[in-house]
Amino acid sequence: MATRSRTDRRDRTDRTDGTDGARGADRGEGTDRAAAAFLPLKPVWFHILLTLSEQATHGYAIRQAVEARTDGAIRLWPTTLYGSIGQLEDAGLIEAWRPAAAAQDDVTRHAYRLTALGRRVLLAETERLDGLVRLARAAMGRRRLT
Amino acid sequence: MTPRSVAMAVALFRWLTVLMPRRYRERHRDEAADLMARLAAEAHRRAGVPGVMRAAGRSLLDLLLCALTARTTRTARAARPGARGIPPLSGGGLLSRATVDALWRDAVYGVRALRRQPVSSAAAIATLAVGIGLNAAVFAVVDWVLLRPLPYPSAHELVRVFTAGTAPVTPPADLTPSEFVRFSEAAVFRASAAFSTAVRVVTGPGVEPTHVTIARVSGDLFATLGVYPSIGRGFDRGDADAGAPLLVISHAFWRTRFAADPAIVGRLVTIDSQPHTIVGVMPSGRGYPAGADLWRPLTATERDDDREHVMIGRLRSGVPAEQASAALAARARADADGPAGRAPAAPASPSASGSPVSPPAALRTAWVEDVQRAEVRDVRAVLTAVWISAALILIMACANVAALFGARATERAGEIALRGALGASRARLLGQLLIESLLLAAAGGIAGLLIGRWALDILLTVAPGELPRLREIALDRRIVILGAGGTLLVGLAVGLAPSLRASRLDFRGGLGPAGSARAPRGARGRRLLVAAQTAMAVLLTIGAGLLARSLEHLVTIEQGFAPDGLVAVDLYLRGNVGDVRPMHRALVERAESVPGVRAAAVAMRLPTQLASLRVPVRVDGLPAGAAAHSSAASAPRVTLRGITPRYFETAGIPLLRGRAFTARDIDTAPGVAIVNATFVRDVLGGHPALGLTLSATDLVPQPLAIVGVAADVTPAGEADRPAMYVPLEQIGIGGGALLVRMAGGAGDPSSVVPALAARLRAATPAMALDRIHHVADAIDAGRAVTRFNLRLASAFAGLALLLAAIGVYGLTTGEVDARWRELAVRIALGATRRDALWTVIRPGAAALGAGMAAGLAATLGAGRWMAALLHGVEPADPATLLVVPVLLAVVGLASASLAAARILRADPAAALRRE
Repeated sequence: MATRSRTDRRDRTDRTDGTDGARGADRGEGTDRAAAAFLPLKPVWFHILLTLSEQATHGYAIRQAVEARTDGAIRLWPTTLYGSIGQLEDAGLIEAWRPAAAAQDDVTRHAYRLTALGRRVLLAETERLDGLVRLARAAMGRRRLT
Repeated sequence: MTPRSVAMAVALFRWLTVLMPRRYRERHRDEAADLMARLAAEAHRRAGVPGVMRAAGRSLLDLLLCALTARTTRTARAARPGARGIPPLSGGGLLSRATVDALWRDAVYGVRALRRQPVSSAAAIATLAVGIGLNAAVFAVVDWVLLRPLPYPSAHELVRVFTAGTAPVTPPADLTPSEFVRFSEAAVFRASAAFSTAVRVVTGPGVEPTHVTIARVSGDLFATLGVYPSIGRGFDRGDADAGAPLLVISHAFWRTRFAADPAIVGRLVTIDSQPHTIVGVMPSGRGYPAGADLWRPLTATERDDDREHVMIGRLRSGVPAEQASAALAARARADADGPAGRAPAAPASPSASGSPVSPPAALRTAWVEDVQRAEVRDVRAVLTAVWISAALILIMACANVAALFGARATERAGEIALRGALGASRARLLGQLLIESLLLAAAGGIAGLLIGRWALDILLTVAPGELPRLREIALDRRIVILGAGGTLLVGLAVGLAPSLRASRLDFRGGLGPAGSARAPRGARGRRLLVAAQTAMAVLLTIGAGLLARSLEHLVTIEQGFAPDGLVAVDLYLRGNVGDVRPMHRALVERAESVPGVRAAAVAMRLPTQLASLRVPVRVDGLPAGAAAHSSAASAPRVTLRGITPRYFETAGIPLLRGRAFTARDIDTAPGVAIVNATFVRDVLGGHPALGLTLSATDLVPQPLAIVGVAADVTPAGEADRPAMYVPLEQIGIGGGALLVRMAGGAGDPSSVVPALAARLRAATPAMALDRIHHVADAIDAGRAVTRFNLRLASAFAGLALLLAAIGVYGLTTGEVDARWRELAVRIALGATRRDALWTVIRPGAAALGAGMAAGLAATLGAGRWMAALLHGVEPADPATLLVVPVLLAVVGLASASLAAARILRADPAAALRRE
């Protein structure tokens, strides 16, 4: 069951972004199929991963960082934030992490950090977006010329 | 210090997290609440309470949408560890970001619209909150008692077996042990067990002698239930067949009597002078029957052939109950037909009354019923009635709020028409109005769930103790989720019709002069609503009235003895072999030596217990033909009541003729008896009793001379049965209770209980003295169900009256608003104000009248069903049927007049100028 839905997702990914050829070339030899299964990433996931790629931190700081980075366009309300964190954890993209110097009184709050897979997914998504942007720029550039 | 608004917002957020999937709650509830607290505190610093409300509102909307998404997409499976490709929680899931933002804007606008009319909004929210809260509390009880499966694995497979005679027809009964043995062999059962319960006294080293309820088990109880002791082991079929002296104790008994001793297994305790080994402790709240403290195998000597063994069985999976019933019925028939059929129970020994003894050729049948259904049979009617009443209240509340909302939408026709004219689609307008009604409902729902928690606490404290699963009932996740769903429905119910009507784009009408003379739209519907509300109020108020009359009847009922100032001590003397007479004497003597005690006596049963041992009795010296229904040859069975001398004085039973027993009526003296008035009427046919003699050779060899006639005892109005009182000194049976009469002015009877217990303890160290009670209190407890019903019904009736009054008030207000101009013209043209007043009150009065007629008809129709809840009152009690409509008419007309009164003060010229 899980395998099938994964395949579905990959099929859909391949169909929708329509950059198969270009992306295959970009990636060269290291096609990261495991990471590609997660693409395209939801914006909320992308922003959480991006925040955690800078440093491991806890929910409140993630919210602050995302809000600052998007000029308040994306505000992560508690249930969306922790719901997404839970799903990212389940997917193995991030993990709960307690720094050695964690305050003893702060027992409820966890810090989270990227896993290796999470880092690869973030990279793959960035590349995918980058490819799309280049594709779009190229198309618009051609139109302007003609 | 946390501001209160922040603390409340966080508590609410935390609590509503129950709507999220379990996995989320377990991992992130605390973190999310922590974040919520930070956001709310920040908002408070920036913008005070309104800021907190905004932050809380946005977070709660987020929570609700996430919960909705989580429940509509299949995250449950995907959320397993290791699963990939999880659907999004929100944002990209069910609703797009833009939709969520639009929803939020509509919600903010809706809140503003609601705040513009704070009084009517608050009234609507309060009305809904009461309706929803009441329903949440009542539904919690109904759900736990009637709907949730019992806490056993595959509880639907558990059935209880009943038997009954088909020729002659006898009422449904439990089984005899031999029937159980044969039924348990039926192939439809995977496992089965039977038990009978009895009260015994447990003693042992370090155990205070205590009365306990013991279930004496045959078959394999634990395998049948699918629940095994959590400490130690159970006993299986082999143990049960051998009657091994093993005990499994309930979790509660383990905690209260053994201080939750973990090394309990292997301890020895004594029951009926027999040592028993404790082998296991049941898990908390488990074990069947639920009231049992101990379970032990049924011994061979206890296998008397009485129909008191409750049989439960676990059906093989896939076997329907009908098939099991058919199989058992076939077995029951075969038993009755076959030559190896059960030998008839010999009536040689005195048998307890009430256990039907089947003649040898009797045809019997048997069937199974779901255990849970069988268990709740007694409370089903009451609970269903309560449930329906609560639902009626909610419907009434919805009707009122719908009317209010409709009136408000009508007022806003101009604004709506304007928005429509500016290009808002109907769907958009409809959505806006629906959001407002949903907001109202959500506020009402949240307040309602808080009220419901509190109402449930009250409900559980006043609920009668015999309600099954009473201690488990709680307002848990399931109820909150259902409450949220219900609230959504309420929001739609309240808002849909008015919103549909208001969003119908009728530019000219809406933008034209306000308050034109045409009749308000939906006025007919509102009148119908008010009439329906009135009908419900009539139904509920009459119900409450009838219950009040029932309770009045129960309180004033003639008991036949004096329960006030009478203290009863439960003596359990079985197993104390030897002559009990010296002990009786010692107990009475000790009790009478306690200050404040006037008299004491030992009796086989309390005067509240009419049923007792019945013995065949022959009357000698009765002139031929005087006996009422029995010829002298056949001995009628009469109830035996063994007592010590001062019993009648102690219990307060009047002696009609002759004398009471004295200390001289001992076993060496001539036999004596006292009969009751029913005995004289039914057995002697009214012939004077004094001087006759009775022979009850089953009991005593010597004849008993009737020396007195006592009045009948009628506890709770129950008719007494033919009975004879005999001195315990002469029959040597152990007494069941010590009765103690307080001297007048001795104060609260319960105050002498400790002194009494101490004195008695010195006389009989091995006696369990944990059951001492004031008889009047016990009788009062017997009225608990009726009182509970009455309290609920009164609360419901009060609410219904209030809601009906509000309904009439709203209707009349609407009428006044709509006809203001017309009335002004009429008054200006010379109509009296009284005429004008009547014009606007009339629709309300008509609705009231119609509602009352419908309500009375419904009450009469429900009469037979209601009769089950009443005592000593007819469902068509004339006094109640007369008082309630008058009360309702007064309340209704008063609220209509209140609403119409402003016509009297109005200035017609001003009203006309306003146009």
